[in-house]
Amino acid sequence: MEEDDEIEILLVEDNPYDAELALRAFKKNNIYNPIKVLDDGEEALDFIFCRGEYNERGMCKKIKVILLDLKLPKINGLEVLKAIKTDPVTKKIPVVMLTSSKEESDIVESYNLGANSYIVKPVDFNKFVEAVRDLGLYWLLLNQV
Amino acid sequence: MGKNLIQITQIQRIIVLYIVVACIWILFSDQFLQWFFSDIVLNSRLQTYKGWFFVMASGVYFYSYLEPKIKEIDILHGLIIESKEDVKKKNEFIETILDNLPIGLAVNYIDEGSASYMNKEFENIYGWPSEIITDIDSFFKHVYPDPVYRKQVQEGIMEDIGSGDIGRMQWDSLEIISKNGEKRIISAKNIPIYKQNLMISTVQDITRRKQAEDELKMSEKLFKSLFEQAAVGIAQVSPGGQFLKINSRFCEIIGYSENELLNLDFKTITHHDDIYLAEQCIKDVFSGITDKFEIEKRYIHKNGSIVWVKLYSRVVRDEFDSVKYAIAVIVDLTKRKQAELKIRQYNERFNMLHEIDKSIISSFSTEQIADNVLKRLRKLVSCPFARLMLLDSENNDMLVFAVESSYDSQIKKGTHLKLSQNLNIEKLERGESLLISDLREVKEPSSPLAKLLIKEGMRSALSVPLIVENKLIGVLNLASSEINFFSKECHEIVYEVATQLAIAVHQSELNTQIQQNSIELEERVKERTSQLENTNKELESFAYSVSHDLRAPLRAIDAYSQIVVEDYANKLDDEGIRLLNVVRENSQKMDQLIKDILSMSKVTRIELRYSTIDMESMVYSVYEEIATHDQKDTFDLSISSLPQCYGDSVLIKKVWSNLLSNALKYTMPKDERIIEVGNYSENGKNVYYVKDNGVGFNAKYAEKLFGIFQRLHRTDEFEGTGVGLAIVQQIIHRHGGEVWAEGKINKGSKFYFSMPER
Repeated sequence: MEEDDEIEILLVEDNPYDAELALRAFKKNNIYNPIKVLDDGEEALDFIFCRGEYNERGMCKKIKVILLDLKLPKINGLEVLKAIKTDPVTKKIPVVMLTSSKEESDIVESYNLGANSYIVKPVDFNKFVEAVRDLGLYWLLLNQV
Repeated sequence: MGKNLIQITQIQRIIVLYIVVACIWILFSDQFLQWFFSDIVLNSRLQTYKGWFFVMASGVYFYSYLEPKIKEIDILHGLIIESKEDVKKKNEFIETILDNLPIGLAVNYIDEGSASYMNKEFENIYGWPSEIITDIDSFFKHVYPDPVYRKQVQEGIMEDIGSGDIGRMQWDSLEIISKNGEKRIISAKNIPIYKQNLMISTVQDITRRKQAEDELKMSEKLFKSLFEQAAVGIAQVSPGGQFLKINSRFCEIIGYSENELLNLDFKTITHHDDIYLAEQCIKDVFSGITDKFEIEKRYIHKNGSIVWVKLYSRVVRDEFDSVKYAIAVIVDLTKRKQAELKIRQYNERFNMLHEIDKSIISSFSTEQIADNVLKRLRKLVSCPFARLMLLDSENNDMLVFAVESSYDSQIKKGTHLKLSQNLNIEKLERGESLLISDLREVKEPSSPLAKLLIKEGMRSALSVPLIVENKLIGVLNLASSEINFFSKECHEIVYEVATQLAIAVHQSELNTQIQQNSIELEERVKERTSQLENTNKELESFAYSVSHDLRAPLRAIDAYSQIVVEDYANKLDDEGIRLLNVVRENSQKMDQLIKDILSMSKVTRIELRYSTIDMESMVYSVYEEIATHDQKDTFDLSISSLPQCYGDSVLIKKVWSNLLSNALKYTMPKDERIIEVGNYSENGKNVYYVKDNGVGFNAKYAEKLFGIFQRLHRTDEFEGTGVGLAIVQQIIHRHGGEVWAEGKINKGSKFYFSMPER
């Protein structure tokens, strides 16, 4: 599991199609950073905090951004966000929330818990790509320079 | 005078002697001489000497004898002159006295009846001068002008005078008329001096005295009648408190006879609580602090009852300033006091009824009302025991609901009593009261509670039923340690209170029931609300999952269709690409529908944030936002000045956005495109409208327009999901306004919404 230590982008998304579309979007925008896709909240927390299955992983060495869906099995996105942002080590990692609606309460709650940004997952693929590109420019490409 | 006369006889005697000697001389001297001297010549010479001698002798004689006598006569003469003046002076003196006497005085000659003297007062009294009243007849004629009276008086007087009895010669209270016509009353008295033929008449004007006497008599009479017939009691009281004189009213008020009172002092008949007060007042009077006082005090009537009086007392002092006696005037206040007491009782009754009313209105608990009423009632009736029992018809017993007593009664609140133990219950049920004037005479006390009352020293009792809607709901009991204590009036009061109390208890019970019902209702509402809240939450989560779970596959369908179009376009023919695009279109439309539903549900749930909205500028900015370039160029938009409104600006903006975009959408087919935004005021609401000249609609569907998913046009005619107007309606309803529409096919439409003026 050595490659796990190299992960720079963590995508937590239970819907495989959405995940695939996201990866395709990254690719289309020439983002080739190592990406890990996880499909439930519990596994995401294990990965981030090097627990359970991932206990041999070095503590989140290189993660540059976490893309976190709000609605996740087992532990939902907001809870995962809360755990990340209350830990002194992980709280500096940028977290972008992925949501399928502009449901105001979710967004407000996310920001309250320390989310750095959010993306409404549009069915319009072009718009989604645009959003990810913006994010890539700001959070990944910028950091690489 | 006597001496004078003697002197005169002596002188006469001297003269007679002289005459005698002189005669003898004349007769015999010549003879004698011739005896001695015959010579004629000598004789004749001697005769001459003889003559001279005679003269000389006469002179000596007279001188020696008369001179002292004449001297005496001179003295006497002087005396006589002197005494004449004396008499004159004395006469003047007497006359002055007589004229200034307060008594009229006249002197008449009895025989002739003519007046010889009248003093001034006499003239004054009769008013006629002495020149006119010259005799008795003229006197009577002038002084008594009335002939009948004159005759009567004159005859009487003349008869009295004629009798010669001095005792009869005085007349009192004769009425005369003086010269100036004034009526006077006189008293006259005659004193005859028969030897001198004189009658002295005296007269006195007693008009004033007579008047004063009459007045005194009148005032005495008046005083007496006042004293006797006064409506107030009057008594003369000695400094020692003994009654000296009492009028009949006084006797009447106190109930004692005059004789009885004369043997009593004031303390004996004064109420013992008032003796001190009366004594204090008397002390003040004796110490000279005051001469009078007035107090309200009580006497004890002979029959033992209390008599309230107002006592006004004033003392009369003698010249040494010590109290001679006191006059006490008393006014019977008993009736007033009774009336006052009655008024007080009425007031208290009224107050209590008012208090009960108040407690009914303020919906106090039944316990509070009962305690309050019993306390006041017991005080008002002034009996030691009061109790309220309430009927529990379900358990067939009575409950001692409230007890109020002046002593520690064994009858306690909460005691139950079987209805069967109260023998008089039927009477009470008929609404009749029970009055027991002496409990000990009741052979078989009806209940254990009655027995207890007797044991506690109660002698008389009153039970009044509490009736509501012809049903006995309780009994009000009062008890007193006096036999026959409860008067008719007392009964009346208790009856009144019972009536009111019955209503109060009934009302209060109803209130309690209402309160219980409302508590139950509230609980039910709470339950329902929480059920509703749960349902709402479920709905919310449903909407949430709809938005997430339903849209995710759509997103995938759309996105993957696009990937196929992008990556495999060269492997598909045109029809394949068209079909994939149909797939995409439909998934996008479904996504729009879901978004609209979510938006609709959000409008329903969202909390309104009120602010003042400038409608005019809002309309302009919305139009700017939604109208395309082309539309702005081709549309003729007119906006009148719109009043501000008070509402949630985000939602109201949504309203304008929907209405304006509809107007734009449905007017596009027209060559001439007009949109008019205006307003008017109606029934305290501002009505705003958007009018267009577009395709309009069939008026019979006007109501359907605002229903969700209701459309009047096909999608290929006009795009839309049929949610916009439903959202408009929802928003306006939430603001307390109304929406409606008017239209005609191809003649444009007009959409209205009203907002309450703030």
